[in-house]
Amino acid sequence: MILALLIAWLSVRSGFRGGWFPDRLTMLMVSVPGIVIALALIFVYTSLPLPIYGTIWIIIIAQITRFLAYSNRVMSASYLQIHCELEEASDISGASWWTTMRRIVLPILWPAFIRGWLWVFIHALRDVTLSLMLFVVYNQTIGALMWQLWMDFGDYGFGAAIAVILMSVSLGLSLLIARPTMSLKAAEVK
Amino acid sequence: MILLSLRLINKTFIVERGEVHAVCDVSLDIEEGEFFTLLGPSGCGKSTTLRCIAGLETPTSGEISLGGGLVYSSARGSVVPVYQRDIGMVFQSYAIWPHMNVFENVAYPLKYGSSNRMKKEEIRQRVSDSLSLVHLEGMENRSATLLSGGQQQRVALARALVRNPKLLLLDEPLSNLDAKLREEMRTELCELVHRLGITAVYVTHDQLEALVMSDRIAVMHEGRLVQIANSHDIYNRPVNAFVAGFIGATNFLDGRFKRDSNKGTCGVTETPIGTLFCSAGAEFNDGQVVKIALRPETIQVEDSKDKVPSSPGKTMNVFEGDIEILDFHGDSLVIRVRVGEELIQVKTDPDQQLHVGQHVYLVVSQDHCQAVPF
Ligand SMILES: Nc1ncnc2c1ncn2[C@@H]1O[C@H](COP(=O)(O)OP(=O)(O)O)[C@@H](O)[C@H]1O
Ligand SMILES: [Mg+2]
Repeated sequence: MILALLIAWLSVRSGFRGGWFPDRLTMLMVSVPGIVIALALIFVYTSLPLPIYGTIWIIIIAQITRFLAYSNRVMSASYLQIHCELEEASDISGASWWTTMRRIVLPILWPAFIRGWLWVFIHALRDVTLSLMLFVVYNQTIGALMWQLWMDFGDYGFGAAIAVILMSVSLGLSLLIARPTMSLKAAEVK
Repeated sequence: MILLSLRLINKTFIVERGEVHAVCDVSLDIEEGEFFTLLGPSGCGKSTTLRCIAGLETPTSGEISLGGGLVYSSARGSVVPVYQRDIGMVFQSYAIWPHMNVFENVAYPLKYGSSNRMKKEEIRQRVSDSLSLVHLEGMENRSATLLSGGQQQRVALARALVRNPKLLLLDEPLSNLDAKLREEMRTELCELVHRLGITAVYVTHDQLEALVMSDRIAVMHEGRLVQIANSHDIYNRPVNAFVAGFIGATNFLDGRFKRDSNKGTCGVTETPIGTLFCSAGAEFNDGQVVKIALRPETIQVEDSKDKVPSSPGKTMNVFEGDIEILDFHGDSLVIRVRVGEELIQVKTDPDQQLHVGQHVYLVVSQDHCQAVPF
């Protein structure tokens, strides 16, 4: 999400010529199926001398790549609603770019930030494709674990139990996102 | 001493369909302690000029120095970034941060400004001093979102003043307030700035605000400076028809100028309603086509020929016509009088007994007939 905020800043505010580019790039990712991302990552990271393949990190990177587009949309849309004078007032006050981001932009975008994060978290939680391609035995994602229990070991009971827990967590979080108070808070900030 | 100086500042924006030349060759020198106003219609480049001074916008070319040091120079390629310029600014939208209370808003420049770290106690003291300057004593813990427009305005001002900046920039700070509050704040702001002896650059499109508040006014039109002068001269000695027309209501009469050889600034002009005695700068030549600017309130209305005064030493112009329109404004009576082909607007005493269709005599002294270039 922090990466998404930076990309949003690049495309919305910075005024750099190529500022829109990373933003469009993340959108392209939406059209790529998860399985292709996974394969691509395997090729890239097995051929690079980075000790990433087979660790939890490759799954994290894959998830970030996949969900950046969405989180970026959320951040850009909210960012557009902040009046640029709010940031300029901070610059005039003598604050550095970083301080402005941390003390002004981030707190104002906070509700959107949290919602975006929750949304991504839920989706990452139920993910199977990416994890299945990238997991190794000693660090699995829940989705991949369920798949294994069901397909390989035939342990339907355990699989179903995990599924129920997963669903209740997702459901709970979804309800949290949809809570009207959060939208109220977001509206108040404007 | 000159605090701020702009040399040939230009700013061009690249937009989808070509370029916008927002500021053209603007040069200014602003004295320390001066209340200086940029005045002009919307879109004439006032805000852009102010933002260049602040460093929020980088000019396309030119030079800006502040307090003796160069802060921008296109020739030498040097730019001092916004946060290192010793400036306070009040924005049109106030730009009060909604997630902070009043104290946090005002303390922000002290806490996060580039100057040295300050003790908590000192910050508290300075915030409270700053708040009492704008008459918001004890409001530290109010939430910023719960303030009225006028209060937000004051918080923005307190925030701009809290670091004791050399220069205060104000971009139409009163335009979002209702009429009554605007008038109050105008007086208060003006008094505060003069009391603190701070140098202020004030942007407005409201000519009355500019005339009331400023030591000097720079009138802008389409990105260029047209006239820099004090309020009195801007009003009474406009350099062209744009300034005359923008500052207050004005009647214009077209004519051909002829200088009166005995008197330096005097002349006569042939206009559609007869020959007018007028005053004109030395730059006008005999035979030149000019406009005569006539302020509605400088014209006196009389209902009979006997009452027309003849004051010696001052050459008076007199013309006659019929009242066509009559508007009662409470504190004044605005009438339009048909004189020949022209409709002359006159602002007069509301107690005067006048009615539509009445035949009247208009009297105006030569001093108040100002020749401006066509
Ligand atoms: N960021 C910008 N991008 C493109 N054009 C701009 C930008 N800012 C101002 N302009 C243009 O520059 C001109 C002057 O604007 P501005 O300085 O805001 O005028 P004012 O404050 O006098 O109303 C206008 O034509 C405006 O459209
Ligand atoms: Mg403006």
